[in-house]
Amino acid sequence: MSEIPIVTEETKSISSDRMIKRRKIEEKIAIGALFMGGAIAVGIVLAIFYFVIQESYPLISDTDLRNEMSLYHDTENEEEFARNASVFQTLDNLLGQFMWQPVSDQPLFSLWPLAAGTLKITLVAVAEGTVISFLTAIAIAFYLPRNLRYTVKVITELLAGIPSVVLGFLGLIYFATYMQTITGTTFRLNAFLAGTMLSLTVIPIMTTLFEDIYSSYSKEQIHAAKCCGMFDYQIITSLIIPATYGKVFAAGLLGFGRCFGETMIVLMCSGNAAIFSMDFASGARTFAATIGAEMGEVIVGDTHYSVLFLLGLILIFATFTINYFSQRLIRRWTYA
Amino acid sequence: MLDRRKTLEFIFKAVTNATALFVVAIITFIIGLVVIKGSAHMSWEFLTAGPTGDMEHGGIWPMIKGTAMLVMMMSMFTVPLGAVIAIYLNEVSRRNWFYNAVMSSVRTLAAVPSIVYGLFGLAFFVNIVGGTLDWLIGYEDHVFKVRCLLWAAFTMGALTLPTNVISVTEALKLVPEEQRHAGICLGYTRWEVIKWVVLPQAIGGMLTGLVLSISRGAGEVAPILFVGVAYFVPNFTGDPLDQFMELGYHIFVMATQSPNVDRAAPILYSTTLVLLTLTFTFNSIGQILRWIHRRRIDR
Repeated sequence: MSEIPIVTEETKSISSDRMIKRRKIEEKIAIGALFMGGAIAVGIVLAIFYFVIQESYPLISDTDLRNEMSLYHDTENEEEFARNASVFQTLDNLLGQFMWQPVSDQPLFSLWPLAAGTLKITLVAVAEGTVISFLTAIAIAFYLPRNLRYTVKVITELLAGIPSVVLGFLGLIYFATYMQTITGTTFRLNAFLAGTMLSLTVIPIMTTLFEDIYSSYSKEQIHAAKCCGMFDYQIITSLIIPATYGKVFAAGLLGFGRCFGETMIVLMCSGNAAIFSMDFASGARTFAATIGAEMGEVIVGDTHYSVLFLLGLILIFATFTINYFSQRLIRRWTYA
Repeated sequence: MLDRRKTLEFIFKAVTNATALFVVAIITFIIGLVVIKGSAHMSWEFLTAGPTGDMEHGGIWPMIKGTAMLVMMMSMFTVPLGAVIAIYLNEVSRRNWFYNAVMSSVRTLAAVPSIVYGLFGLAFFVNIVGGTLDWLIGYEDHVFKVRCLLWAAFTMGALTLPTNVISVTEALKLVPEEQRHAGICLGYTRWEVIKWVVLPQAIGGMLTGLVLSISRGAGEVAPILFVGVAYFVPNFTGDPLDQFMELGYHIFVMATQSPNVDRAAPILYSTTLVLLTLTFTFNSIGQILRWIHRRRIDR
């Protein structure tokens, strides 16, 4: 036995196979866990799609629900009628009439009033949002004094931090009265008010996008144009707008997708009247607000419950499509 | 000719600047309105007492407690998961179909409307997960298959997941590639590079994600509308399997369904002020953290 051991217990274990094996196992477990994390993300998305479809599927698969949906009850031979209730009865209720009356003896679930309401409010919001953000972005990129530009940008982004329920609350309690005096509408809560409050949520997003688009426009071209004696407005109208309108359109589409699914503001400010008209001064009811307002009171598994999930499905697919196309447009259109 | 151009230039400048100032004015007005009207009813008692008599008097302590519990439980679930997904995407995965699937899932999660998360929470967490747990423990009456704080927190967690992924991704992108290479040269495995080199520098990103998702989670109402929040829970104990009160929902319900909105208005403005302070504080902390982090890496 030597007095100074050259190979200690410690060094032995480090160089030993056991240590290497432990490290390999640890590596495998950790990488596996990270992989699982990615799988969970995919799983959540698939689960969202799956469960929303699953809960609205009975509308076409379940005879009872189809029967309940049907508009023309034959009271004499009810049983035979119930057996024969087809998918078309459901479709007829959803698309063949123009009333949304979920709670009544003959429940009516027309999608048209909701579609009209959604379109109405979203159009107002996107129109106002696009115009205001467009002008603000141009001001930030060209006209404001340099020391103010950053401040204005930061303050605009502050708007994104205000929860939508706060905007909805202020619209309902405070702005509605003033808006009514200015526009002179019959109803205090209407589509225009809801759209206007909704535009406040897209203004920060769109301003940032527009501002990015304009300030990344080639500086050399701007300098060259200035050397030719062009004024700023000429540069904007004849150079920048033609070169970037595709991106601006895509940004508008993105804002549209954002407005489409917004719930709280619309729920509080629109009056929630399900009427099939494009009158901006009257009330409106959107898909999202309908889910928000009625889901709390339905019985699970009911026709109404399934129809609300169907509305959710419409929302998912609409926003999904809109987002997909706007992302593609943003990536494709380059600044020429 | 020059005169016309000068006029047009002036008009352009005036209109765009006026719009920018208009936006700034509106934001200042909104915040000022809430601060001025809200501070009138603000007191220590208002913050720490429970609501009394028709909800038009008393304080908002149960709502603050409910919001805090919701946000805490949400972060426990969403911050680690967000970090794991971000690390997987940036450090581990090869650029194959699975990478694309995870990437587009995160993008889809960010785009799905918040109300749809509510539907998902109801159909999946309450009915399926809760139902399964009930079946496992073999209870007759529903224990887990109820609309409660736990499932609301999970729903909110799914909603704020993209925020976390993006924050951590930003932090990971700022870790110099040379440091990873140095780790590999020392004989580290992939996981050891992540553990000893990447993770310590991604903590900042996780913190930013945490703070931003708290700000988002405290402000959103739509996803929890029918997954657990309630109009009135007088003695909320903090039990995760109980319904709870929440600041944003309280504002919504009181503004739309209160018997007398004019009498409730002062309390509502104060509640709004509390909510706004909460979200604004966390949002600004998040932005400042992000800014500091970027500056540190730039230097």
